[in-house]
Amino acid sequence: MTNESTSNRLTQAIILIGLICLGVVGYGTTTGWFKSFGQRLDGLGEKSVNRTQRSDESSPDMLGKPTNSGLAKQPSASDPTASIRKFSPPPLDALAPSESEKILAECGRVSNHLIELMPTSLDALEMKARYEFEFGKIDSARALWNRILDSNPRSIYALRGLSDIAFLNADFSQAVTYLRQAVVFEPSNTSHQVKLGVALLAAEEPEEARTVLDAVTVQEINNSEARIELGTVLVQLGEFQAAKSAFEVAKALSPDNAKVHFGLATVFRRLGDTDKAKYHQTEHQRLQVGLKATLQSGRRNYDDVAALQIDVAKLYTDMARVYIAGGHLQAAEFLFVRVSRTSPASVECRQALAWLARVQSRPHEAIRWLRSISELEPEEFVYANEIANLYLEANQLDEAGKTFMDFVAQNPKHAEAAGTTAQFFLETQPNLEKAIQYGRITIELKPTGESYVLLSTIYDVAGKPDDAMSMIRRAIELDPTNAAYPEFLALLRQKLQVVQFPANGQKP
Amino acid sequence: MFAKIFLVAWYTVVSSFAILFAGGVNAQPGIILSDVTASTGIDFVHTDGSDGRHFLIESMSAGLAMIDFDKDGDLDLYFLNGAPIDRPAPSSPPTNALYRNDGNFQFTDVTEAAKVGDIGFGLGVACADYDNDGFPDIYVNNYGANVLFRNNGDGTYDDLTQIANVANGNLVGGGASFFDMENDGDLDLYVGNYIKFDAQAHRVHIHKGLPSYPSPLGYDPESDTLFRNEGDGTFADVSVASGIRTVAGRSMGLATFDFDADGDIDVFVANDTQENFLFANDGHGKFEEVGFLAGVAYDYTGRAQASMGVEVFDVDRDGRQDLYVTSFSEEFCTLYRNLGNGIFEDATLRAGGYAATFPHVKWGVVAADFDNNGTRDLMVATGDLDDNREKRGGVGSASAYRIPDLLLRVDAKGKIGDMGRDWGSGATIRESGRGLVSGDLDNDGRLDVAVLNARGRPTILKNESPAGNFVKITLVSNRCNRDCLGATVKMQQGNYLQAIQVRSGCSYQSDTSPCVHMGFPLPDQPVVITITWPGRTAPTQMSLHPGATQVVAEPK
Repeated sequence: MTNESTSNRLTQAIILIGLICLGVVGYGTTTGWFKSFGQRLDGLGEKSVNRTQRSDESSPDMLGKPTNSGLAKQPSASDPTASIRKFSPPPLDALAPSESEKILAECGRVSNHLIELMPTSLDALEMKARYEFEFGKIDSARALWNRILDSNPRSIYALRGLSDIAFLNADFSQAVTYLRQAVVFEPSNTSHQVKLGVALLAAEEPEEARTVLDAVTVQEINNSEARIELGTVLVQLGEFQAAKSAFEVAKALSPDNAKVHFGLATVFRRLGDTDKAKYHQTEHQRLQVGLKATLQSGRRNYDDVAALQIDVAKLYTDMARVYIAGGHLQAAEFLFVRVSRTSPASVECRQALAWLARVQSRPHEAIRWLRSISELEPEEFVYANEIANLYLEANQLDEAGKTFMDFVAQNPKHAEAAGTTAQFFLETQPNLEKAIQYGRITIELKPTGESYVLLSTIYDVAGKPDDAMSMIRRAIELDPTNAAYPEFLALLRQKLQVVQFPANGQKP
Repeated sequence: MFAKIFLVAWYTVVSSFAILFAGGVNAQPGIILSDVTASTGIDFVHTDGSDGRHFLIESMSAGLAMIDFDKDGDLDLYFLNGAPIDRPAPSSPPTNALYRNDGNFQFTDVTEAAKVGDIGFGLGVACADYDNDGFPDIYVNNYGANVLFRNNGDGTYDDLTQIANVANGNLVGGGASFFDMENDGDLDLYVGNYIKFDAQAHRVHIHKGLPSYPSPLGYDPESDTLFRNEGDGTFADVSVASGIRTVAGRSMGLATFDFDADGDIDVFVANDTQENFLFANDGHGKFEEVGFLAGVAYDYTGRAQASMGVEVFDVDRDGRQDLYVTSFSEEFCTLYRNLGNGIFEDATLRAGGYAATFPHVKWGVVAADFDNNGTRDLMVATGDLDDNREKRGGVGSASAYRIPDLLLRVDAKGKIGDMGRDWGSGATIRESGRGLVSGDLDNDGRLDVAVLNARGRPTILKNESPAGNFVKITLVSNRCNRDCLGATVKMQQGNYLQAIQVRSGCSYQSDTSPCVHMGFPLPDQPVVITITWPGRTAPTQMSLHPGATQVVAEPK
């Protein structure tokens, strides 16, 4: 081969390699493969959906209570309505099953459906894992959580789930391993640390358990549970004085906690103070009476179907959130509707349904759901307020006003509601007679400077300056440090002077 | 290259030493318990009488007794049986069964001949010579009327329940124990009662879609019963006067022993799903419940366990009786170490071996020196009470309805370790164990085991461990109760001290022979034995060589 041909070959090879590289880069860029690969390398795992929160943790960014300032906050994720997926309903029975095995079978189908719809979603896998752990096969749950960890080593749910399984199998060292990781990834969540302390004690590492629990008591000084567990560890270590201190602080935080009194009785007994031990025994027994009665009643009246429905409803609520995060809003609605039927007292699912109706531009349906919540929590003004706002958006002022008035009629001592109603009739649907009526009610219920200012404003608009000034004077008496009130009074006086003595010199 | 060869060779040598060393450390004599059930001639099959409605009582199954009923020198077996609940008994109702030991692990069913085939729902049993005639009698604690079988001494029994006045009404029984509460020489009778139960009020429970037993928490607890032996063949119910009726529990296993070494016998009651009781005896038949202050009511976290069986033994060989209590799944078996001065501490975590017990439902327990090395090991009967466990979702896979029993080894320092499945064919048997007792069935100086299994045949395990060195004594007395229940026997060889209390009632609602059997590590050094007789302060001292089996009579 000549030098020239070698050189040519080399050049061709370089070009070929370059083309291949370009092709790879192009493909990787367009499919996001590079990004996910990089994330895997970083251990963050692919996240094609936003993390949702469990039903045992509030999710104000999606399903929280609406505030006075407006509707429920929009989810922090990108607007889900922008990427609503093709509707694939969860495989629910037409009617909510009333037999336990059918309830469980249906829940299993829904968990499978989640994964079918969102095969790369770790949240969907988490739901399946939870189903298996609570109702299915623990070993399957373990495999699923391990799969989640492979993709996302920081998955707290997977770490806690696996630690629970390790506990069940009495593999306390393994439980410690998982919990240590949970603590590393969520150092502000002291529940992981407390659980780690318990696991360390069971794993025959009491000194380290003490260290971990000590740290929690510093991080959260009002954490009575940590102090109780610390006291338990200290008793095992034979450090009774230190244990006494821990339990006494816990008692100050939770005086009616039976475990605290058990701990104190134990240490006083070991310290030889029988009288104090007996005192805490008495306290322990007193607290146990109610607890035993509750337990006994619960066991006697245990209804498997009802209990299952509650447990499944919690899981469905979380599953619905996963549907939402994946853009499957209608599927989520299906599930929330089911929860609303099996859990007539669930506010959470109804909040979610109201939000879903709102974001899908079905305000009257949102109103319907909010009304159902207000029936469950009739004393909560926030729902009436949201209903009224929805009516306002739909330009149904009469309905909005009626909503406010009905709430005040049902909750005659609710000062905030009376004030908002007064403001409505002042600003939104002017009706000064009603504004004055509700303004007066507000003052009766909450005689503060703010309330008097509101009524003063109403009187002012109603052309009753003397009454207006009288109200402001009262506000000043109640809150003399508020610099704004004298200014309001000055303005009113000025206005009155203008009225009485117009600039053109003519008498009014 | 030479460096590589050197490294490989060095690694091989070091590894070999490590293996040999480790093997040497672990190469202590093993415990071998072999399943010989099939060849014993015992064809008893326990039934709980169930028809699918899952009455809670059915899950309790029963205890058993190991006694020498015919005083021919070997231990016989008495198995309790269940019965149909809330429906008529079949034409051939299931009965308890008595098997006579014919030697060499051969047994003959003598139930009918002995007239002890009670058809009640048997739950607990206690055996002792209540009339001091030299022959052990049997008390069966039933669901329904209890039964007292008096041993006639000729291989037969008579039902003297009504005469003795110990039927105890129509209650759900638990454990039972004979003991002399006043040191007057007569054996009194403590009867555990479980729950207030009305079969007519039962409703079928479903849990996660499958039939299940209701929780005992759904039933009111029942106070226990104390019968005082009047000395004339009758008993008086002194439950109220004694003070034990100030509390109500859900009694399962119980143990009568002198926890505070004050010379009288106290009562520990393992309660299901509530605090355990410890009744302190004032020596005159008055009892005060002191479990909480004594530290035996709850576990170390302050939780009431579902306590089932109980063993009393000196785990750390300090001369004081400790307690080992079995419990439910996701609970540890709890070791309460006796500190003296009437106080116990929960020493479960420090002693170790608890992890192996955690996943299982545990029932009967014995502390027996299976390998005669001077420390008593623990055997625990296991088996979930949930007969639908394997089908039910959301449960751990570590346990099952039928599962091998546990053997825990105790070392010289009182540390407990799990022997896993490395203790012979007995470790492979998967049954739902309940009552468990140990005794030398073949008189070869090694303690054997009998287990009553729910809804199945019993398990008979022959001890084929290395023989070791043992001392076996049986106490008799003409002054105190004939079996010397309540006597304390301390045996010491060098640094090995064991204190054993002669008792009736043990394990889970079971009973065994009052014979005292203890192993010792040294074959040639004599064992110093100190016997404190019931009601006497002056002990008897004697010395025996390992291998001795002796009847020791109380000196006049």
